[in-house]
Amino acid sequence: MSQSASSNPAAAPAEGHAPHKSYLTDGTTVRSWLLSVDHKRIAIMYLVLILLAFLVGGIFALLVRIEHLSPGPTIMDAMTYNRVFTLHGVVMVFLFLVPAVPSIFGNFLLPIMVGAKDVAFPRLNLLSLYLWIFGAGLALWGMINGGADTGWTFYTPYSTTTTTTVAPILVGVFILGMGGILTGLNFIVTVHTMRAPGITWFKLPLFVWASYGTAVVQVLATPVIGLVVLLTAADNTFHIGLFDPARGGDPVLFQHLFWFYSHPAVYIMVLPAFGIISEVVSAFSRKNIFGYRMIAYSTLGIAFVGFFVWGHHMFVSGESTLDAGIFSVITMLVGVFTAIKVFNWVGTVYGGAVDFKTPFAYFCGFLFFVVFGGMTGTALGVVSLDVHWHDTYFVVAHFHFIMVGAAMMAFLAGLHYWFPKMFGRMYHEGWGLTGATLITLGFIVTFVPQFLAGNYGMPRRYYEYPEQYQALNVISTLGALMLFTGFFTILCYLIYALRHGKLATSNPWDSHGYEWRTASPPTTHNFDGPQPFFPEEPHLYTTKPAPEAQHAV
Amino acid sequence: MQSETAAHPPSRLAGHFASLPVQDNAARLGMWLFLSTEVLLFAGLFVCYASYRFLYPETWAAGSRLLSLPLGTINTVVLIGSSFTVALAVDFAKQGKNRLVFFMLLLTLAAAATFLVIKGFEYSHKFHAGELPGVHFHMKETEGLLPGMPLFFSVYFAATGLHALHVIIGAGVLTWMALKAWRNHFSVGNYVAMENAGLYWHLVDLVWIFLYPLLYLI
Amino acid sequence: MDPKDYKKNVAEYADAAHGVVHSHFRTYLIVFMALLLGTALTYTTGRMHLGNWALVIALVIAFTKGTLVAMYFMHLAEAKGTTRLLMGICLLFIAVLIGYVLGDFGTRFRPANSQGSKWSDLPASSTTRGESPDMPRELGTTP
Repeated sequence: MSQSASSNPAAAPAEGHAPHKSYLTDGTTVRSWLLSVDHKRIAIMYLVLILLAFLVGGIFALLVRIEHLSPGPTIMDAMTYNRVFTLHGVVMVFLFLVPAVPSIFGNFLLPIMVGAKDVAFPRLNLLSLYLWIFGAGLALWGMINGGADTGWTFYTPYSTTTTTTVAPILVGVFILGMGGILTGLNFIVTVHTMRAPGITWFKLPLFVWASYGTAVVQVLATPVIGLVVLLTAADNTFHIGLFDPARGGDPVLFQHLFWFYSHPAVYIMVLPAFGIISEVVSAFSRKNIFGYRMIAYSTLGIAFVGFFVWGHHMFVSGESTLDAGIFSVITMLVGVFTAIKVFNWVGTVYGGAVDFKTPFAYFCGFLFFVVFGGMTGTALGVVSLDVHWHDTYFVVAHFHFIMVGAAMMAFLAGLHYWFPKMFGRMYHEGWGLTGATLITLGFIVTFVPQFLAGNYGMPRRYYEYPEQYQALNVISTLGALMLFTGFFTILCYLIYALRHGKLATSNPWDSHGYEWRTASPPTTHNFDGPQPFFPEEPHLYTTKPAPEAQHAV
Repeated sequence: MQSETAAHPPSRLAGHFASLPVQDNAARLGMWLFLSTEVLLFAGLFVCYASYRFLYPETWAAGSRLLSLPLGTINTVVLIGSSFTVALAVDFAKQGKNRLVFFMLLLTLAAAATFLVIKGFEYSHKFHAGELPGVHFHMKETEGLLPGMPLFFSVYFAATGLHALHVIIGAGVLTWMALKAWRNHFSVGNYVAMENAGLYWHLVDLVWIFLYPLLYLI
Repeated sequence: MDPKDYKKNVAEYADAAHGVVHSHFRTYLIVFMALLLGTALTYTTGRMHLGNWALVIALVIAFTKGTLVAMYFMHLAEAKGTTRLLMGICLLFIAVLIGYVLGDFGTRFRPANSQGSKWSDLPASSTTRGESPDMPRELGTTP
C-alpha cells in the first residue's frame, strides 16, 4: 500500500515514460481544461485568473500611490481617485486575498496531503471556479461602467445613495462569496471523510489544519455578508431603506453585520498563509515542527475567536463604550494565538540546519511583518489609541502589513515552494532570492512611512493632503514602484521557468511533507493504485528530538 | 475498506471515495454544512428584526397587526404538513417504495404551490395598501404611522421574500426528486439524494416556524 | 472518518441490503401532531394581551417546534457529533450577534440611536414615520 514515489526521486515528471501521465499532459484540449473536475487543473486555472486579478488590483494600487506624489491633484481628478482606491480594495480583498491561498494551493495540495484522489465534490469545485469567474466579471463590469466610490467597505447610507454603480459590484461580491463557500465546504468534507488510512487528525499536515480552519470560517461567516450585500444592493436599487437613517434605520447595524464577516475574513486571508509558513519553515529548517499540536489548536483558536472581535472596527462609529470595551479585550486574544504560532516557528528554526532558499527568504520577511503588523494590531485594538489612529494611514499600514506582509509573502513562499510540485520545473534560485529581496525591501519602504504619516494624522482615502506629509508619501510611492519591480521580476523568471526551467526531481527540496511523496507534477489521480498509506507524521525529520541546546544557531 | 464496496453496484461509487457509506456520509455532511450557511444567511435578517424591534417595540406590535394572521396561520399549517410529507417521502425512499415517494412529493409540491399563492395574495394586498419598504411606503391610515413603520415592512418583505425564494428553489429540487422517483431511482441503500433534498425542505419549514410568530403574532 | 461511525454505517448498509428498514411513520405522525398543536398554541397565546411575555412564549414555542423538526424530521437526534456541533455553533453565533448588537443599542450614547426610537430622546422625523417621500437625496454626484 505504501507509496514508493518518495524512494524513487529520479522518476521523470513530465515527459518520462511513466505508466501514468502527469495531470498537465493528460488531455491538452481547451475543453479538457475548462471542463476538468481534476482539483489540480482547477487550481491552475485559479492561479492564472487570480494572478490576473492581482495584476489589476496592483495597477490600481500603483495609481493611488502615484496620485499621492504631490499634495494636490497629480494624475487624476478626485472622483477617479475615489473609484480607483475602491477598486483596488474590492479587487484585492474579494478577488485576490480571500480566494488566493485556499483556491490555488488548497485545491492543489489538500487532497494530495490527505492522500485522496480528489476533493469530495469535484463538480462543485468546478462550479466554484465558474462562480468566481462570473462574480469577478460582474464586479469588474460594474467597475468599468461607473465604478463605485464607497471604499471596499460599502458603508451605508453612502453606498445606498451614491449615484455610482454599486449594486452590480455588491451582487458580484455575493456570487464570489458563494464560490468561496463551496470551496470551504468541499475542504471540510474532504478532511472529514477522505483522509487516507493512517492519517489521523493529529497527523494532518499543518497546511491542511490551516485550510480546514479557513474553510470553517468561510462557510460560517460568508453567508452573513452575502445577506448584507444583497440588502445593500436592494437598498441601492429599490431603496428599501433597511439601513437608512432617514427611515429610522441604523447604519451601524450595517457595520455590525458587515464586520461579522469581514473581520473573520481577515483570518480567511492569513490562516492559510500561516499554514504555508508552517510547511515552509519545517521543510527548510530540516527539523520537526516545534509544537505541532499548539499550532493546530491555535489555528482553531484564531478561527473561533475571530468571530467575536468584529466590533473593534467600530470604536468611533457610535458603538457603545461597553461593547467597545468588551471587543477590545477579546481582540487581545487573537494576539495570544498568533504569538503562539510565531514562537513555534521561531522554535522550529532554532537549532535547525537552515537551507536558505527562496521560500525561506520569504519566511524571514513574513516573520518580521507578521510580528510588526500583529503588534500594531493589538495596539489598534485598544479603544483609546484607536480614537487617534482610526481612519488614518496608520490603519492602512497596519492591515497592509497583515494582508501584504503576511498573506502575500506567504503566498509567494508557497508559490516558490510548490512551483516544482505544480509544474515539474525549477526556477532560477538566484533570481528567486533577488525577487524576495526586492519585495521585502520594497514593502518596508512602502508601508513604514505610512505608519508615520498616519501617526502624524494623515487620514486615509483623502484625495489631497497637507504638504507636510509629502516627503513620507514620496518615499512610500518609491517603495511601491520597488514592489512593482519585484513582482515583475518574479513574473518574468517564473514564466521563463515554465518552459525553460530545469526539470525538477519529484522532491527537489528533500521535504518530508506528504505532498512530496507523489510524482512532481502529480499524475491525474494523484497516486497510482489504491489509497496510499502514511505511517509517519507529516513534518518528521528526526525520529528522536535532537539535543538542541548544545549546538544552537 | 475495499471489500465492502463489492456488495454494491459499482456505478454509484465515485472513484475518489473509499466506499459507499463514506460517500453518502460525505454527501450528508456537505448538506449540513450548506444548511448551516442557510441558517446564517437568515440569521442576518433575524438580527435586523431583533434590532429594529428593540428600537421600535410599539411599531413592531402595531405592524404585526397589519399583517393577515389567518393567511399566515394557514401558510404555517401548509408548510408543516409539507414537511411531514417530505419526511415520509424520505422514509419511503429508504425502503425503495418509489411510487409512494412520488405521491408524497406531489403532495409536498401542491403544498408549496398553495403557500406561494397565499403569499402572493398577501403581497398584492400590501402593494394596494401602500405598506411597502423604504421610500415606497405610503400608508393612508394615520394610526399606523408610528416611527420606524417603513422599517417593519422592509424587514417583512426582505424576510418573507428571501424565504419565498427558498420555497421556490426547494420546490425545484423536490420536482427533480419526484422525477427520480418516477424513474424508480431510489432503492434500499440508495436514497441519499432524497434525504438531502428533504433536509433542505425541512430547513425552509424551520425558518418559517420562526418567521410566523415573529412577524404575524407579536 | 471515525472507525466507530464507519462500523455503524456498514452495519446500516448491511441491514439495508437484507431489507431490514425501520419505518419512522409513527414518529413522524406524532411530531406532526405536536407541530400542529404548537401552532394552535402560539396562535391562541399570540392573541392574548400578555405584554412582554408574548415574545417569550412565542419564542419558546417556536424553539420547541424547531427542535422537533430538527431532531426528528431532520434526524439530528441520531446524527454524528460534527453535525450537531455545527448547528450548535450556528446558534451560538446568532446569539452572540444579536446579543452584541442589542447590547450596543441599549448601552450606547442615547443621541447616537435612531431618532424617534425607544432608545433615543429625540423626536421622530417625518420620514422615519413614513410620511411623504422626501426629496431625492443626491449624494455622491460628480463634483
